[in-house]
Amino acid sequence: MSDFLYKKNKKFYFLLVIPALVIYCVALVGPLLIGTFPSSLYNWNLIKGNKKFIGLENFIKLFHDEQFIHALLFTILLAFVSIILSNVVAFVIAFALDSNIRGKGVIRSFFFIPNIISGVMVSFVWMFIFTNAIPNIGEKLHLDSLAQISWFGNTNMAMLAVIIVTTWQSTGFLMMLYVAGLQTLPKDVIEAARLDGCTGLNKIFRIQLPLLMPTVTINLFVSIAGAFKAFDIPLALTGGGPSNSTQTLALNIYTDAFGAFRTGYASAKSVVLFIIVAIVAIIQLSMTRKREVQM
Amino acid sequence: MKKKIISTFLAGVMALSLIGCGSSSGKEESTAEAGGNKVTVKMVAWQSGAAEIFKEGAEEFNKRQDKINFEVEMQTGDYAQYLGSKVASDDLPDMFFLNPYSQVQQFADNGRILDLSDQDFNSKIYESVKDAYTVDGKAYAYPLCVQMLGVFYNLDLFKQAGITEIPKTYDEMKAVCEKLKANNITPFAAEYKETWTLNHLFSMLQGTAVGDQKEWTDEMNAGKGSFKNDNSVQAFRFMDLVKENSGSNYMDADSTSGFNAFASGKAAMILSGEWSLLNANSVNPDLNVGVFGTPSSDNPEDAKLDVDVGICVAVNKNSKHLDETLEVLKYLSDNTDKKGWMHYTADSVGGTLPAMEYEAQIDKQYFKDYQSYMNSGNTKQWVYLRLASGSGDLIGPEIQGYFTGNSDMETTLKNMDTKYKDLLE
Repeated sequence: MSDFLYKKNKKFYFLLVIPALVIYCVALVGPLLIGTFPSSLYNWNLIKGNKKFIGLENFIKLFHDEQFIHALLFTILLAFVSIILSNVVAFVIAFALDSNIRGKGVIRSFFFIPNIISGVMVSFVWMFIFTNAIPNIGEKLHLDSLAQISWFGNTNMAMLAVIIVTTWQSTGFLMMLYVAGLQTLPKDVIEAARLDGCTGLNKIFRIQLPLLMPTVTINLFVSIAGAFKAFDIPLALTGGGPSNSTQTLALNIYTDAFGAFRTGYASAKSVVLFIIVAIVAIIQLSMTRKREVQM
Repeated sequence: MKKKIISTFLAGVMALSLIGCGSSSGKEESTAEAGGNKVTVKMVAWQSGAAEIFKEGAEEFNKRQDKINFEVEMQTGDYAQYLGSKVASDDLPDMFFLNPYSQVQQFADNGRILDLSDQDFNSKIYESVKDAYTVDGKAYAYPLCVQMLGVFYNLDLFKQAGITEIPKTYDEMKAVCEKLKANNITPFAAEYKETWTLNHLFSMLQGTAVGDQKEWTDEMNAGKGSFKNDNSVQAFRFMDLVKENSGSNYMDADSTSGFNAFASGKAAMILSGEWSLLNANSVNPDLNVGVFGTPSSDNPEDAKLDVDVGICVAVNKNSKHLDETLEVLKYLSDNTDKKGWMHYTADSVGGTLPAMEYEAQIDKQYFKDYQSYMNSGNTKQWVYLRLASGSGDLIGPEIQGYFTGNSDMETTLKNMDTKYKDLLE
């Protein structure tokens, strides 16, 4: 039935896509093709105004650029840790909220709120927590070790701070997807498992989690593309510091383009970031498609 | 069928609404002009602490006439990045702040700012600061103020610790820190989470280390010099001293919390410019504050105060309201007007002094200190302003790396040399 409908209305569906597609092309594909890709082949300083064709030199240079490599590695680390952490936390919260507790709706929205606040605001709130609230609590409780923690004073702690805030913000959205997933699980299977004496952790790991796999895959990949483009939280929270150790790829491109005005070089970096995100997105799409067939 | 029409229509509306968002700002501007019958001249500025006095100065101008609405828009965060994005989108405001020397030169070279050589202010500016805003003998900006960089200190806390003389050498400075600590006073207010504060600190120390500031920066910009020289050890020794005497968690404090800590007497000194005192008016108006040049070497004569043009105002060549903008510039540069712009910006604590004759009314020790440094000629230039634009974004983070212990002196200086060469390419 639906196949028949699809064939009948194919042209009309395409028509509906056109307006959005036009905007997408004008605002994204166009600038990418006529702006970013060509200028990555130039030595172009925006403020000096010199523009010289240098072929692939920018690309060769950026693989020797320690700062760029570091930014790439940090971005991968941030993506990896925050994705795993936020998914685990989101699942635990979703699981807790799936049972019959009072005020489920309210609690759910509390966990979702961080997701709708802008990253900059989130960062300012957490900056206050890290530099004022935690040291003050430490002093009041006479816990010197807590009060003396310098959250932005060394590379590892600053990385941890960025990871905590990123996780805190992204958890809410993932939690909603998990809650939705848990509610669609067939009741009879869970009932049968319960009658067979499968309860507690066994029930979670052997029955619910396997059945939830499609949601897990979607959740994992939903967060990946976003994590590679991480920009606002590192910028507002640490400014990429100390000494650029928490600089993500997007932030690295930004400082090169608008701090040092090296437009051509920054374009080359953008092209590399584009290729990375594109590869991740292609894998993500093909994998989620496979899951859909299984269902 | 009806549904189809509706959905096609909605898809179209969605597209149009997005386009509508983009152009709405332009429309607002024109209606405001037509409604109020006034031309809006916008000046984009930095120095968040001065937002209030800039606003008062602008309101005074708006009160006096009914043709121009002068607006000051404050930018926080990295100003160079703001400029970059505005240049990229070809959307520069009518007037905007620029760093003197290399930044003015860059904007003049690429033809984005107006030649102001025929303006009245040129005859009044101090001869000694001409380099700051001229390119090939033409004035491309108005030097808004001269500013000082040095060690600001709290006289009451110094007295409390029994310090009677200001330090002139590294050893004396070290002794001062010891005395303060012995009296449970934190010597330095930390502000090192923001890299520009460290760029300023390094600039002061490097100015002493290189001796002839102009010669060194010329060499650097020709791609020949190095950040390292025989005196680098002294500069880094001084940074170690600062680090060890800035209390705990010194890397967590940004400039605002540093300024507040100094104004409220939580720390006895701060390495900064007079703008760090702008907050003091609201935090602690009675703050008793003086200033001295950074004593990083063993020679007392090296402890000079860093005095240079801190801010230039450039006029956008493509501004739609050039005549009105130049009218505003006249107001900014009028040193005979006792109730005008200079009154608001210079006659208060932390205010900036014009780059021309003007009798400021500030009753604070730091102002007297400044005058005595000026009268004895015991000042030096800010080296970072003469380095290529964008250098602050590479120096600051590298020094931050040294402060966190991620790199030692050799690596820090070597990295800065490599990155500066990249910047010049």
